Amino acid sequence: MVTILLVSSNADSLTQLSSIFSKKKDIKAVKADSGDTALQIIKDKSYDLVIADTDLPDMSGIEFARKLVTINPFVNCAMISGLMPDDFHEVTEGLGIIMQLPRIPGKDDVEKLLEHLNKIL
Amino acid sequence: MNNYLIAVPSNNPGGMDADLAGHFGHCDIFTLVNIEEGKISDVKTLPSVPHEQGGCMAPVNYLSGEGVNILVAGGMGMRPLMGFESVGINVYHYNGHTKISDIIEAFIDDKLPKFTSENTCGGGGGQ
Repeated sequence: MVTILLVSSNADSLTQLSSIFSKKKDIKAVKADSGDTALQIIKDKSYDLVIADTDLPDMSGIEFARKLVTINPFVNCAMISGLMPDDFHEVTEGLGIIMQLPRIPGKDDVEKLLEHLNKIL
Repeated sequence: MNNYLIAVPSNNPGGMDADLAGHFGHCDIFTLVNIEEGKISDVKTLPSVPHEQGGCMAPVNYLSGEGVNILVAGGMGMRPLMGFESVGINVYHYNGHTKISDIIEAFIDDKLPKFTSENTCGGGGGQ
């Protein structure tokens, strides 16, 4: 069972991702609507993957990723971002983000993410 | 404790006469140096492991599995640095030395600083 934590307050991003994951029997997805809530969840339980939005109500996605690696560097993190790929790479350098996702990830984006995650796990 | 197994990311072919590789995650090879009671007791090389984007914990687990307890690096990201620390591998900064032999000598003489978040690529504030 692959465990995924979705971190976003954006209903559109969350709804789409939740819908896709709910159709997969080998995935359990949990939601958190703020960075601090997600970090507290991670302190209590490790997840295979965190998918974080670039803008959270209480912190930026980058700040969240920085805090995440200090709490548990073994948790993989993908990030929803509208930045151009080169800019995304620059601002996330060193944080080990496994993939950039578009603002509203679709089924193909999720399949690519899961395929990539399987290579890492 | 005066016994260490030190890993140094190196350019091919590795070994004491090789040069340090600039970024640990993309090195050709690791030079492994065994230090016992402050003296070099063994030197060998270990192939590097390729890793996918975001798979920077692979070399962390790999070196930990080999019994490494010290890593000396010129550059790395925040995530692998935290990973090394979480598995008990202390990371030191190369402090400008480029030859593996000089790095090991500086470590034995306690002249290498700890690698901190300030030294990390990008997220921590750069080198």
